[in-house]
Amino acid sequence: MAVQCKPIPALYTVYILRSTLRHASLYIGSTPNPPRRLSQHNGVVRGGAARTARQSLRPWEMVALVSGFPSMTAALKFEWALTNPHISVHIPSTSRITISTGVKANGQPRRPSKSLASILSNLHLLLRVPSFARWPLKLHFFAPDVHAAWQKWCATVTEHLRPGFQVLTDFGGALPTGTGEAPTVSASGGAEEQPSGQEAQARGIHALPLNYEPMKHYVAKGQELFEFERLGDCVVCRAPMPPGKGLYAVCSNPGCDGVGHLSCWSRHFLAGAEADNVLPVQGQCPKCAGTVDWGDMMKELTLRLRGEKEVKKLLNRRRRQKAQKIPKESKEG
Amino acid sequence: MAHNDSIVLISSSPEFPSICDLLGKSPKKVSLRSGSHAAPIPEHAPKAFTSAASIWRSSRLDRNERVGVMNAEKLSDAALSRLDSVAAGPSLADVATDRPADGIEGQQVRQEAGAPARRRKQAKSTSADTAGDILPDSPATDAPPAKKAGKKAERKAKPTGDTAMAQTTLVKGKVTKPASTRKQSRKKTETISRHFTAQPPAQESVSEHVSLPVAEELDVVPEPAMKRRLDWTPPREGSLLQHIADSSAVKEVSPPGNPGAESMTPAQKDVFKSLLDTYGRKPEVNAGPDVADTSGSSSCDILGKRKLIEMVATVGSKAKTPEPSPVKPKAAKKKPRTITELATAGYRLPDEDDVILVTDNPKQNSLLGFLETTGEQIAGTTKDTGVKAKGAKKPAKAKPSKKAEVRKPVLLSPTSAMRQVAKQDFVFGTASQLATEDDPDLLRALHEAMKESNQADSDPFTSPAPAHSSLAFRRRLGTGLWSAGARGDDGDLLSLEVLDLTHSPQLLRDSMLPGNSRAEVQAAKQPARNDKSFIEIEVLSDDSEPLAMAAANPMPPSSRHRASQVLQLEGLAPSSPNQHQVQEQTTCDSFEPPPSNQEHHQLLLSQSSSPLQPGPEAPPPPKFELYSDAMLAKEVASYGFKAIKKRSAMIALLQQCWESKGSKNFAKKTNHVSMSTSSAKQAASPPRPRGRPRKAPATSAPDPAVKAPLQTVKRGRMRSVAPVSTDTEASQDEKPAEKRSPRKPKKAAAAALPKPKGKAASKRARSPQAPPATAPATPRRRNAAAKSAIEIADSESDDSFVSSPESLSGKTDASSSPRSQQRDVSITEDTEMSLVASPTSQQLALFGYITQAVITAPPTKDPTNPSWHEKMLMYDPIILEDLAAWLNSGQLDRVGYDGEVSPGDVKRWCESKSVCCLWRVNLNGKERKRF
Repeated sequence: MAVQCKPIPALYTVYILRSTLRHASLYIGSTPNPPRRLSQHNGVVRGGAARTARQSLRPWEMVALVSGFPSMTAALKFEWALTNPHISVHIPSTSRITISTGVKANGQPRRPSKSLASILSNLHLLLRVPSFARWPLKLHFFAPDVHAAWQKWCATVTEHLRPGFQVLTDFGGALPTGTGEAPTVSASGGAEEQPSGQEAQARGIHALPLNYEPMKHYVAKGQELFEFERLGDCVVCRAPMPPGKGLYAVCSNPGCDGVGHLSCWSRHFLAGAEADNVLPVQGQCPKCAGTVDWGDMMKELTLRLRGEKEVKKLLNRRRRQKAQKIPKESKEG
Repeated sequence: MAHNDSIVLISSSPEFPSICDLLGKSPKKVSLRSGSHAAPIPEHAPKAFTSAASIWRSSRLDRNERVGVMNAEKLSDAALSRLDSVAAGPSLADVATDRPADGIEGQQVRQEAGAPARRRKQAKSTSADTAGDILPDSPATDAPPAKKAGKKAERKAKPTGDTAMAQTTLVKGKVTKPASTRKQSRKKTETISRHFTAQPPAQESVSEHVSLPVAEELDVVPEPAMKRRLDWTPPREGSLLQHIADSSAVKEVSPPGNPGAESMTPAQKDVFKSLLDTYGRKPEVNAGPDVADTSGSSSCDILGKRKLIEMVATVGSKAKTPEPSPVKPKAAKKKPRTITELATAGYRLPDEDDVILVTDNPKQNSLLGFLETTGEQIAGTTKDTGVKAKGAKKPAKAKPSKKAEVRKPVLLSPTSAMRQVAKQDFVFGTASQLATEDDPDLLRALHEAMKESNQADSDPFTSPAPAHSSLAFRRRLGTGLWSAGARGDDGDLLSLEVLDLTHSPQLLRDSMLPGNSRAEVQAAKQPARNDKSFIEIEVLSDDSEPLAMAAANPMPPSSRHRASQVLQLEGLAPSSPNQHQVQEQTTCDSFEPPPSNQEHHQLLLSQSSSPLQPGPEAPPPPKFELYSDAMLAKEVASYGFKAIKKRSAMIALLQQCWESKGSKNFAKKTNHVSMSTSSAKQAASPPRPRGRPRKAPATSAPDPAVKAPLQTVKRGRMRSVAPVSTDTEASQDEKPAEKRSPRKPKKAAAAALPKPKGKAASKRARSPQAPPATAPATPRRRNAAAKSAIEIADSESDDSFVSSPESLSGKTDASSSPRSQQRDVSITEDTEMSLVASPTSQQLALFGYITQAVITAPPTKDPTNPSWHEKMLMYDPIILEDLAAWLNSGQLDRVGYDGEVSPGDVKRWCESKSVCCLWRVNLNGKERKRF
């Protein structure tokens, strides 16, 4: 394959930016590092978008974002689709919400003006279209009013997001210094990690993990399993897994060293109603019976396969800071 | 008048030398010059004859009298020359002779130099004056010189002296005119004035002034002048006659039927030869006078005089001719010489200029390869020799119209022109080969056969790399056919083929000849013949079609037919072909035959390819809506269009391009099919771009019959050609008398269509509905062909391709739907989206296969090189082209899906599965380096 694949990024997000001074001003962007990007938009750091350069609209805030994109490409596709819901090919015409009423000079349909409601509605739509439905995405809200609008919209929509989709809220992080409510977990999502010490104050986008730190433990487990070749047999097919002869995924649940063929995991997860799907979303580890997110598993796998440098960096730091950080990592999942 | 005199001097002097040269009387020239100027005269006098001195004196006297009259000088000069020759002597006689001579000279000068009106006026006036005086003399004087064979004198003198007829004739010979008196001169002046615009008023005035002195002289002059002329005339006549005599002779002499007329024609020839000399000199001479008199172009006038003469003679309206004539030579000469003009001469629409050009152009045209005209030209040339200018012009004029009628230059659209260019086959061969084999058809057929045989021998399945994609397509098919035929036919066919090859050329020629000749002679008949031939072919095709699948059977019936046909041909051919051979040759040489040949080849190719067709199906229309903008841009660029910003416009354009492309392919295929199924279709579809549909049917008709049998044999194509010809001839022979209007072929075809099978009818029914695939403006025939092709495509699907319904549907979609799709696309892109989002049941089935193929693929053994499934599981972006290629490389077959998927299909599948997919190329048209 000519493509040089990188490991699944630790974080890649598509965010909704809103002017704190003029709430009608909205911007959609993508970034692997929301805090940095926000500072760019606000002019603190170079590199902000021209659309957000007007001082009268600054500062901007990220009112919501979608995280968990498995690749920059995926994030960009989603971003474009969310930015251009009127022409995105990912939206079936029958369910298209935003319809262009005009035509631009270049012949492209004119992009309808955005509103928070339209963005949220299209976000809801895109999160359930077949193109993106099975991606390991999470939705974060950092502004109560936006979350309220989201919930309002969700109430009016007959279709629902795929089961298990996590919608997280953290309204305390609007300002890095601000202190807000503890992050609340909606839907079935797990709780955001509550940093302690220095990071205790981090909320909102600043609380998002920008690196693989949350999965250190998981990564360390994988490294250990493969370093010492304690793979055992495939947890699914019970077939031996010669080291280096295939792609083997490790259960993400702490304490479970179940390893299996990648295809076996997928087959196991997709068994049943989802037989015609290719991408699993979530499943139960046959060994520990714990729930495993496919996204997490693949993140670890790709990191192990392709992120040698990242792993070394991660583990080295971990070794250095081992004493302090281990307890936190256990929580990651 | 003095003004004129000075001018005249110059003019006179040069004139004389020319005459002297002709006569060998160089000294006289000197005398002439001296005569013109007082000072020079004494100098020259000694050079000239002593008698000349007296002449000078007389001339001087005359001049003094005349003073203003230019002619005096000329007259003196002429008199000197005449005196020298005749030695008749006395001054009076000299003067008299001078005057006529002057008149002649003046005419010459005028004619040659395109003499300004003033000169003529003067000359005329002088001549008129002299004429008035001389009138009695002139007849007498004229008569003797005429006897001596002085052509000029005869012409001038006789007509003038004889009767009023002479007056008309006198127009040119002003000197002689005087006999007719001033009336004649007026008439002359009128005619002259017509020729030269400014004349009449000046002449009259001049004549009045001059008349008095001249009249005195005139009494004495006439008789001696005549004698002198006699000596003079023969040499002069050559030179002078050309100008004067040509015009005058033709006008004056020829109509009355005088003996002089006959003599004139040879004289004219002489004149022609001498014309160059005269031209060379006189323009110089004229240049002097022109400056003073008129700025009018001397050279043009010279030429113009000829024309004038000719024109006058032919039309009878003298005044009109001169103006156009001067223009003619220049334009004619210049135009042909540019390469572009030569190349485009044949396509030029007949314009006003053409009339002029025609005289010279016909040769060019012939050179270009229009042999048709040659016959006419020859006739024209013969006429020219006989009648000279007059005859030449008439036929020439007539020619252009004929030519224009015969050839109607068709201005092709760029696309069609390119198509035609692509169609043109270049026949390569040694000079001997090319020379021996006259028929381009044969050569091409041989060439094709050779190629295919070679290809088949080398690699039956390798696709030849021809320059033209279309040819490549055909040839591939052909090779396949060849291989198939080789298997099935075995020895018998091969042997037969060889025999056919030997005979085929003759047969072809014979067949071709009658067809062509008939086509030319009777356009109407051919369609009927074609119909018959088609019918026969159809019968053959019926036999062959079922057998086509099994290679072995079809050959024998075809061979039989061939044999019978050949026999028929042999018997029938001799009668018609001989008669028409000449015409045929001309036609063959002309452009017309090549198209037919091309068609023929195409037909052959198509025939060969037709059996293979089921395999190559029309590719499903690419769904441009799914393309990224970069992809669209790339596609657009691939078609040679400039970058288009609008996505919708790009999509629409690509759709059209694809359509046209598809239509071409379809047309080809359809042609093949039509060949296989029924010849009638061919008849319905006019193959020829240019103009004569007749031949095409004849050529096309044979093809269908040939196709089935020939396909198998490599060299069989030659045979195929032969059998075709035989068929056509046979049909023609059977029903030669049939005369149908040109339209009938279609009708006949239509009638024929139902016969072969219901398919034809269905095809016809569909045909009107089928839109012409080719958007660009092309000749109607092309469009019709396209339509027919489309029809055929449908028929194809119905007929032979029932086995592969999907392919059929795809084809039909491609042919019929694209427009609707285009509209949709252009209107809104949302529709595209809907297409993407809601896969059809067929697509769902395909998706199932793709999923199975992806999932069931064995997992990789190399962690660094995961399988497609594993890539997807790891959320790797999938490159659509690669995945499609992988699926098409046997994975789908492994799963049980018989077919191929396009990247677009793969994209849909990926999106339906939440698989992140990408095109290989990013929006900037560059390959992605990172993901």
